[in-house]
Amino acid sequence: MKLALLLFFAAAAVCACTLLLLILRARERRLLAAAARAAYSDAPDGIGISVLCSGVTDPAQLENLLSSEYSRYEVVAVFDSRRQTAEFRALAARYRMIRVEWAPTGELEVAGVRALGRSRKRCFRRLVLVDRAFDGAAGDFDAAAAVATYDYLLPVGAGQYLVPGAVERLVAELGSEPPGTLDLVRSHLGEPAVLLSREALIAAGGFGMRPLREIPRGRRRTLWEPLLAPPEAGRHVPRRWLLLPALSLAVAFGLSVAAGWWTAAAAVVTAALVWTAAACASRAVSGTARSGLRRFIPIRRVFRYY
Amino acid sequence: MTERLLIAYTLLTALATAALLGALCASELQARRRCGRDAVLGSRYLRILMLYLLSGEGPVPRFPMIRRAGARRLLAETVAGLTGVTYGLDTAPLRRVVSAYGLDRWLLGRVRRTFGCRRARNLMLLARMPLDGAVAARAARYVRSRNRRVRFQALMVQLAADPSAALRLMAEYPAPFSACEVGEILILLRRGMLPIAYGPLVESPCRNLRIVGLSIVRQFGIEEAEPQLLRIVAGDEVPELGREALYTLCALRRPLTRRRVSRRLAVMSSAERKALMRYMAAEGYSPGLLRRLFDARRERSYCESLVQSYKRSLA
Amino acid sequence: MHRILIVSEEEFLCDVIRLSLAGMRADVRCAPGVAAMERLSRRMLFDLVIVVGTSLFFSGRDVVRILRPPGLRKPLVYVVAWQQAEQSVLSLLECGVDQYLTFPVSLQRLRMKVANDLNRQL
Repeated sequence: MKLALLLFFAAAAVCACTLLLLILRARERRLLAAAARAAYSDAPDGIGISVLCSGVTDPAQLENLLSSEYSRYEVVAVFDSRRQTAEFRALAARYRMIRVEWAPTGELEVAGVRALGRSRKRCFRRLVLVDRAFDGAAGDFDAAAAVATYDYLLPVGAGQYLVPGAVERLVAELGSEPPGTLDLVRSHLGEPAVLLSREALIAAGGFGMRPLREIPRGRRRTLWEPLLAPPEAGRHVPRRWLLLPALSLAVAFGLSVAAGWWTAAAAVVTAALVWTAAACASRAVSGTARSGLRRFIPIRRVFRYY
Repeated sequence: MTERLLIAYTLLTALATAALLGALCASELQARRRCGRDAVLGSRYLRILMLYLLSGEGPVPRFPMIRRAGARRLLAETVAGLTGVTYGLDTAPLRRVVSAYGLDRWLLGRVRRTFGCRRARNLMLLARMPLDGAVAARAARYVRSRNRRVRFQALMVQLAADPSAALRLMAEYPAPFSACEVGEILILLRRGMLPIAYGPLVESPCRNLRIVGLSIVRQFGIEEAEPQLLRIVAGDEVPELGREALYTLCALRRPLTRRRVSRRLAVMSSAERKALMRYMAAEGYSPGLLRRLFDARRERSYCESLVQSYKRSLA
Repeated sequence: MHRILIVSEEEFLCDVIRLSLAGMRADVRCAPGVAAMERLSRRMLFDLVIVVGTSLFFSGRDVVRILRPPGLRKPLVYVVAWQQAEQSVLSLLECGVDQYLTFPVSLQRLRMKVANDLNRQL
C-alpha cells in the first residue's frame, strides 16, 4: 500500500515538474515569436485562420475576436435569428452586414441555414454572419466551417476571449513548418483551444464526428500557453486567502515529520510541490503567481473536444 | 525499505519545493522591478537615445544607473526595439552607443551562456544592433546549431552585419526557410538593410533564394515579375515553389487562363485546388475565369457556390 | 500650438512616436487605449491623431467618427501599423483615415508628413 502511494506521489510530482518545464519552454518561444513579428506584417505563406463562433452573443466578445491585426483572418458567427432576434439585428446593423446567397458547397452536411451575411468592405470584410436554426454547437460549427474562407478553423464558444497575440502565435507555429504538415494545434491552458485544418475536419465529416481522433500524432502540435481565456482572467484571488492553506500545509508537514508519519509527510509535500509548480506556471503564463491554482487548467473543459 | 524510500522522497520533494518557491520569489521581485524601475528607466533610455539621434553628434550620452542589474539588457532592448520598428536611422550614433557600453560583446556573452529560444532571443537582439564584422564572425558558429531558431537568428546576425553578402549567406544556409523565417527576412528588407533585388532571387536555382524572391514579389506587388512567376509555375522541380508562385500570381490579381497555370492545376491535389478556389473567390476573381480554370463537374459546383456566397442576387 | 494625440497600447511605440515629434511646437498627448482616446477627444479638439495598430478599427468601432465632431474635417487621422495587405489598407482609407504608414517607419518621414499636414491646416 505504502509503495503504491509512494509511486502515486512520485508520478504526481514528476507530472507537475514536466508540465512546468513545458510551460517555461513555451513561454520562451512565445516571447521569441512576439519579438520577431514575422506574422504581424504579412500572412506568411498565405496562412489564414477562420474563427467559428457558436453561442457568442456578447458584443464585447465579438469585438475581441475581430480585433486581431492578422491580415488573413475572419470571424464566422452563427446565430439563430428567431431565438436571438435583438442581438442578431444589433449585430447586422453595427457591422453593416450585406445579405449574400447561401448555397451549400457539399463538403459538410449542413441543415437549417436561413441566411448568410458578410460585413461590408468598410468593415474590413472580417465578419460573416450565418443565420441558422440552433440544434447544437457541432451543427453550428459545421455551418460556419462550410462558409469559412481559410484553411484553418478555430471553434470558439461563449465566454472564450482571444489572448493578445494568440492568432499571431498560431500563425507562427503553422508557419514554422512546411505548408500543410500540421492538422491540429491545441492548447490546454486557459480555455482549451483547438485549431483544426479544414481538410482534417472534412475528412472526419464534421465537428459531430470527433475530428481530433482521426489526426495522426505527427500532424499535431500542443502549445503549452493560453490562446483563449475567460473574461474574468484578470481577477486575482487575494493573497491573504492563499496564506491559510499555505500555512496549513506547512504545519501539517512539520507535524507529520515530527511524528514520523512519512506517508502523510510525502502526501503533504507532494501537494505543496504541485501547488508551487502551478503558481510558477501561472507566473510564466500570465505574469502573476497569485491565482495559480484557480486558473491553471479548467479541467471540466479540457475534455470537451475528445 | 519502503519507509526509507518515503523519507528520501519527502526530503527530495521538500528541497524541490523550496527551490521552486525561491525561483517564484525571485521572479516576483524581478517582475516588480520590471513594472517599477525598469519601466521608468526604459523610458529615460529611449528619450536619451532619441535626443542623441536627433542631434546626431557629440559625445556618447550617459545612461543613468547603467551599472545596475538588468540595466544593460534594458539599454540593449531599447536600441533593438528602436531599430526594429524604424528605418533610415543614422547608424553612426547608435554604433557609438553600442561600442561605448559594450552592448554587442555583452550580448555575445549572454548568447554563449544561454540555450534554446533564450539564446535565439539574444541573437535577435544582437541582429538589431549596428554590428562590426568581428562580432558577427563570433556569432557565425551558431549557424550550425541544432536548434532551428538559434540557427536562423545567427543567420540574421550575419545578414545585418554584412548585407552585401546576403545572397551568399542565404544560399549557403543549411536548411529550407520556413514561412515565418522568410517573413523576418522581409522585415529586414523593409528596414532597408538588405540591398537585394527580386530578379536574381526569383531566377536563382536555390530554393531558399527563390522563396525569398517570391515573397518580395508578393509583398511589394511587383507585376513585372509575371513572366518569371509563370516559368516557376510551369517548372516541376519543387511543387512547393510552383504553388507559391501560383498564389503570388493570384495575390497580384494577374490573369490565370494560361496553359502553364492549367498544367500546374492538373498536378495539384483536390484539396489544394479547393484551397486555391477559396483564395481566388476571396480575391475577387470572376466566376467565368474560375469556371474556365476548374472544369471538373464536382469542382465547378463547389466553385459556383463559393462565388455565390460573395454575391447578392437582385433578380 | 498644435494638439496631437497618439493612441497606442504599446508604451514603447507611443514613446518612439512622441519623441520623434519633439521640438515641433505641439502639445503631444498619449492614450493607452480606446477609453482614454474617447475621454481625451471629448475634452479637447486635436489637430492630429496617430493611431498605432489597426485592432481598434478591425474590432468594428467607428474610430474616425469618435474622433471627428460632425461637420469638421479635423482631426487628421494617421494609422501606423504592421499590416501590409492592400485590402486592409484600402479599407482603412475608406473609413476616413488620412494617412497609413507601415512599420518599420521612417521617423524623419513621419515628422515631415506631420509638419506639412499641420502647416497646411493653419
